[in-house]
Amino acid sequence: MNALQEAVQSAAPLSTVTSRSPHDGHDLFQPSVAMTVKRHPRWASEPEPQITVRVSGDQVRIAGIQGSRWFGPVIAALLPLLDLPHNWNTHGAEPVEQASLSGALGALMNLLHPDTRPPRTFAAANGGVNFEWSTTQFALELSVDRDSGVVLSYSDDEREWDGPPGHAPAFVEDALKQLALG
Amino acid sequence: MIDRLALLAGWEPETDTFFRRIGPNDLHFDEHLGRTRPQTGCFCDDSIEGGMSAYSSELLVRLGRSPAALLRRYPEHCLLAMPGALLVTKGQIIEAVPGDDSLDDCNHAHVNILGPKSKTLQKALRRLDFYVLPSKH
Repeated sequence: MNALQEAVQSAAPLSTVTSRSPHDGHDLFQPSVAMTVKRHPRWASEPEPQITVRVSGDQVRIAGIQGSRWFGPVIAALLPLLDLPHNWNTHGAEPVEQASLSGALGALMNLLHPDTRPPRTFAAANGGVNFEWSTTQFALELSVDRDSGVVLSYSDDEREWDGPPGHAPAFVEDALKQLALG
Repeated sequence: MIDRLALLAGWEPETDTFFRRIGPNDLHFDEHLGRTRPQTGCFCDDSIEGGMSAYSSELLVRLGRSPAALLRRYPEHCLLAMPGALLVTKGQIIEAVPGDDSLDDCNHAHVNILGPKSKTLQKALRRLDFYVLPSKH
């Protein structure tokens, strides 16, 4: 199983598989490696994103995603990161850890409204994953890595805040809401 | 053969500037800053010996090399210049450690920047705006 298949496997429980190729010779979504994500109550009334995956031989293709503005672009940006080799940044960076990817998807599902604009998605030099948004008013990022866990980080012209998403002050919560409006 | 003792004589990291390669996929436009900058995940520990890998501007000069030499094998990258004073102020310790490529004299200018990479430090580094670009830019 390649990294792409493993990634889709991890992502599958987040969504509803609406199409499966009759050519897949193995159970792509084994429960033993599935990730369980509980959505934050604030988004409980929102529809779950639906993902359509097509499998042909070793090829896994995400054929369509509905119900979320950010989910599809994030998945599309994350999958290539799993193939980054050691030293991908020329300074000795570690490959992206699959645990970081799984943790990142879980954190995003908890944090983001379905209408949130897609973040820019990056590998971090320590094997983690980094998501960044910016507007003319503020910059916001979510980083996930083995050492620090999930950290939300905000800055504007006057304020900075970093911490666990669950401890975000009101002005950071407001920033998150703004990302779903524009 | 490089005489390391002679190379490092009188070297003071606090007054030096340190270069770190930034790849094209790690740059993006920040609407709040109003310009392109590196993503925050560029500023993490990634050296084999521990710490964040970089190159000393002063040691490059002593070796008779230009910063552009750091991009010779990486023409798509640029260099971000990090002031030693900023790094030291933010609790970083800078150690001169030769790189692992003995064929390249630039590796004698290699340093490891040790210490916790707090979000405050990472944000300060991503706001820096002194770059060295390869000639193709």
